[in-house]
Amino acid sequence: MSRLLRAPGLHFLVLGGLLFAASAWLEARTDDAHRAGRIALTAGEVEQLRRTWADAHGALPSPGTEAALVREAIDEEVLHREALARGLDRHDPLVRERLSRLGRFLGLVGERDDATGEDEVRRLGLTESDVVIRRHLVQVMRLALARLDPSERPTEAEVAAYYARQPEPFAEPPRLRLTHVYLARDAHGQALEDDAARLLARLRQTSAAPGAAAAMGDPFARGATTTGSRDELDRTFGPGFGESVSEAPVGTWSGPVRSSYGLHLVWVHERRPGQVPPLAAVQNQVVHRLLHERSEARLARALEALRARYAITVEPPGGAAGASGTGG
Amino acid sequence: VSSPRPCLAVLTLVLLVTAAPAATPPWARTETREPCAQYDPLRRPFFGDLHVHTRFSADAYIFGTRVQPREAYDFMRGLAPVTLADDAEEQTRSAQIDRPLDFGAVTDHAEFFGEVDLCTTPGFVAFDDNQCQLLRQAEPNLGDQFLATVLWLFLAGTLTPPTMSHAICMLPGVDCDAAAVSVWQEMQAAAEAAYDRSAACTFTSFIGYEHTPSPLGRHLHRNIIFRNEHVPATALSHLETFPGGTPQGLWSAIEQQCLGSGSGCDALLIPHNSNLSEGGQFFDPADAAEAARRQRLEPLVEIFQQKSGSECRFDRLAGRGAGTTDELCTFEQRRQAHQGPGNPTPPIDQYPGRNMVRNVLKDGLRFEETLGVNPFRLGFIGSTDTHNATGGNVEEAGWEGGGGNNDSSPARQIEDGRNNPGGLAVVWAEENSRDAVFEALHRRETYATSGTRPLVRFFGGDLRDVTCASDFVRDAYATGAPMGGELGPVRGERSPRFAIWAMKDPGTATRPGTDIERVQVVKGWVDAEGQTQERVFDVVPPTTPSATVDPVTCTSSAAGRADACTIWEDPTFVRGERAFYYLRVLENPTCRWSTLVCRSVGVDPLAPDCAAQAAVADPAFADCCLGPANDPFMEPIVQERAWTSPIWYRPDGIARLRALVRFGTRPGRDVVTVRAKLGTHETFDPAANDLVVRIADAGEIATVTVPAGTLKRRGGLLAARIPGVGRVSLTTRGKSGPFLRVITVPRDLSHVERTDHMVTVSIESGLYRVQHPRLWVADGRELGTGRRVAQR
Repeated sequence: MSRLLRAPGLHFLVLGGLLFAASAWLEARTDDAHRAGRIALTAGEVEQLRRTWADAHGALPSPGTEAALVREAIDEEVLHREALARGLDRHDPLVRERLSRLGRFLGLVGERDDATGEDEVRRLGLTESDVVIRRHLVQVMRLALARLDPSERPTEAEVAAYYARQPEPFAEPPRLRLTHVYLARDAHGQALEDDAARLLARLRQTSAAPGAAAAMGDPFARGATTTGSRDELDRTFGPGFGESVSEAPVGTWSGPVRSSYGLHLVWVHERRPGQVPPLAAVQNQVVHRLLHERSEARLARALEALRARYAITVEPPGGAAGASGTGG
Repeated sequence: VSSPRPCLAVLTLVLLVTAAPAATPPWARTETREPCAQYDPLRRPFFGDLHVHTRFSADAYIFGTRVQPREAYDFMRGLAPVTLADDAEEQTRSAQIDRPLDFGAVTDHAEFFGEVDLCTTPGFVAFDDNQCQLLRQAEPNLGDQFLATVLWLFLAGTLTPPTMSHAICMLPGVDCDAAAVSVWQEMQAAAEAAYDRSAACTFTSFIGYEHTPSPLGRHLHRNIIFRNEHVPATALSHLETFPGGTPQGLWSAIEQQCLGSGSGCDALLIPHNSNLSEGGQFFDPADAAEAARRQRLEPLVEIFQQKSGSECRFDRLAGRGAGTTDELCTFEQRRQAHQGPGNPTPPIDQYPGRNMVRNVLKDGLRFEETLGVNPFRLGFIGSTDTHNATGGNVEEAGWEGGGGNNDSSPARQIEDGRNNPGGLAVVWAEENSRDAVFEALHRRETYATSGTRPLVRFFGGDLRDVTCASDFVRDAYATGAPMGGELGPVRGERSPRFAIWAMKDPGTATRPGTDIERVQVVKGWVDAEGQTQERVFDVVPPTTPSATVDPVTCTSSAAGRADACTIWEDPTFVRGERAFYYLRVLENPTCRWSTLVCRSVGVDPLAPDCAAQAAVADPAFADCCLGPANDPFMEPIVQERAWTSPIWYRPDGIARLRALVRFGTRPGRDVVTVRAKLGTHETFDPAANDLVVRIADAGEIATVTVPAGTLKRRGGLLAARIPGVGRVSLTTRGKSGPFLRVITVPRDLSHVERTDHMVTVSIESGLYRVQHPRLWVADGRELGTGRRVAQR
């Protein structure tokens, strides 16, 4: 059973059901006076946050980071209390499984009597203190609060407007499509420069078409025609190549351009400026990003509303209680 | 009925205008993602690292590594530096790469995942336990650190690991299994976050982990790489799979929980560090079934990494090698044959042969002779095995080390001087997505490098139209098999042709690539007496004068080759002798990382008075002066290199194959024909086994199954008609192999794309299995092999 419960596929199913339950609770329980209370972070707890962070990062957190850590800790506390207040721990199979395991560990019950064990453990207050349960409940609350209402699914117009407002993450770098005639350094040796100059003159004289011209040079293992951004061209031909061809004229022979392999006479077919692709090409990604932003915003609003119900104090290092007021 | 012509014209126009990646990939798409904007049916090289440890690995944590998987992926992508431990395990150092990887996997040790999490998360019951403190505390003294490591890892190092894990897992309220699952889920989430599912396809992550049995210090380690996000709920460690055998317990677990789970899970296992396995990694297969199982699950071996190379071994001082006379096998060797107690530095004559992969491949041929199946059909990759979470940090110059505070300063690096920055895994794939890269790994179209990025193409086959001019790659895919593939007697008694193209590492602005010195074919075979043999051919010989390193500047004294192409035939080819061929591409010599480190502290390994300089500097730098004169392997000047996956020659393989899809004039009238000449046929017996002929691209084109014994003699041939499927016939004349003909009944193949693309024909009967992937060419109403490739 426990193995089954840990299958991630099942988690999502369970979580999905739970989210519906949780949202229902959210709507139903507007009377929340009993949930209000105080949240106080002691200087010791703040210090612990600092040390844990330092352990992971090798340096003490900056003041900005520390503030974020404190805020995160408060959010976690708020979410945890909220989850308990809504009785999520009584419905969540993972929590219940964990509680009966704890019951068995503590010897409160025999191997089989899960329900009794669970109650015993609850009486000991482990739903409040057990780190695994706490982590899980906080996670479930986060998902529940971030869950978007179907009505919040963006319309096509909204997606288009969003994309118009911030297209940068989807932009493509400028790219060139070029055909090159390759003169291998190894094959031409000392005569490389002269041979390149002669061949370039001939290509220009005869107005050779790019397709046929490639055969006048040496074969290039990665092909005669390629498309790439400056970085992509550098990765194929060697450093500086992308830069060298970035100003080459379109529709004529230019060069020679030096690569890690030799010299290249270059015909640029087209220069595609850095561009924002049409929405249709990136529709799914845009919608995904927008939905993500919306659910993050929803979570932030919900958290703010929840924090407002508590009197929150953070004790500065060294002792004397400094108030940070209510509402975080 | 109106003419269909206008429709076709419009369709053609659309294809031209959008220039979309039209070709069908030769594999199935198993995930939801944007198709890659850049798709090349003739495949491009992608560079990766499939062996990276972060703080979730108990040893890495003990060594002072604090980097999370997410940060490790950002590092591989070149986006951000990571912090590294110094000698005192303070996080004062950092590293960053300027050459991002295309793909990578964080592969933490599954052993003790959960314990590490519980011990490093304040608030857990176990946090203050001694065992946990041992993990977290800094050990500036490496002796203390060694003890901590042993205490933490010994469970994986015993001959029979206990089923229980560490004592902390038995504390009330401590649930190591649950914690391990949460680590595993975080590793999955980190891989997902790093995976570029957009059309830009900038980075492919793989979910994976390392399975780490080390009985008495023998490394029997494997990385498990999963194809997509469908992975087992737990990452089963050696402690859990041990009862099923090593590695059979792991094989069973992967077969049950992944391959056979029906969830879309697919995985491959990559053994590594056979050089530390005392021959144990590649043991004799019990029977043909076990050999076939290994071949199926383990298509690759990590042949090069930080803890040295595993290709081959030559002791310079003894003047002999482990099953070889190849003097270039001194490269990056450890002294030990395993990492356990006892005398782990055996003389070369007693060195376990199968610690080295070339010997393993040779023995694989021998097993194929006796069992009918080659258990060691291994392609090659390199990777780092970094315990600093620095995947792809493979530059010799300025290497920051790879083992936390074990090699965090010049003195410690030189004391650990036989390590190296590690290598890279290179795949030839159509695009940079999980499906494409995984499939490339699976078909072994891969090569390993010792850290640099040369470009290497390698094909074998009839290759009748292939020249170094013209359409080399296209023609080679049409008439030959790429690296990792197999051949039959494609030109009868004459040697198959091999098409070889190596281009130097193009380099970066700060570090220009090194020229190629030479290209070699390494051949291994079983001779007429049943003895294994090997031979190395310089197929592109060194330039003269060959380059040496300027002892002052560490640069090459002479140019090598930027670009080398050749078509080669094996002068020692014998039709009846089973063989493999792989390429080894050597770069011009350059200074080893240790030479640069030693010089930075005033000790010059190339100076005649090196020992005196070391004595002045610090006794810790004595090993700076190890070299050709006084050490069997160490060399201050090295030749970086690449090794391609082998191409196997099988006397019983496909000698000739013509296959064709003929599209009918009406729907449902499409026919597939296959005509194949097989080699010798000792293992091929359709009277005793079902005969299955399958033609497939991304999906199935046709499968014809002839049940065992249903082929009936009709005149000079054996024939069968399979109702609703097609007709099959088999002719055998004298000693030469059978000739197989398959014609399907008319069927609907409208889903098959009518453009040039890769199609694989496979023929199976009992243990006999051959595969024949080729670029099929479209021509009017036909799509098939064997026609002259049209010039583009």
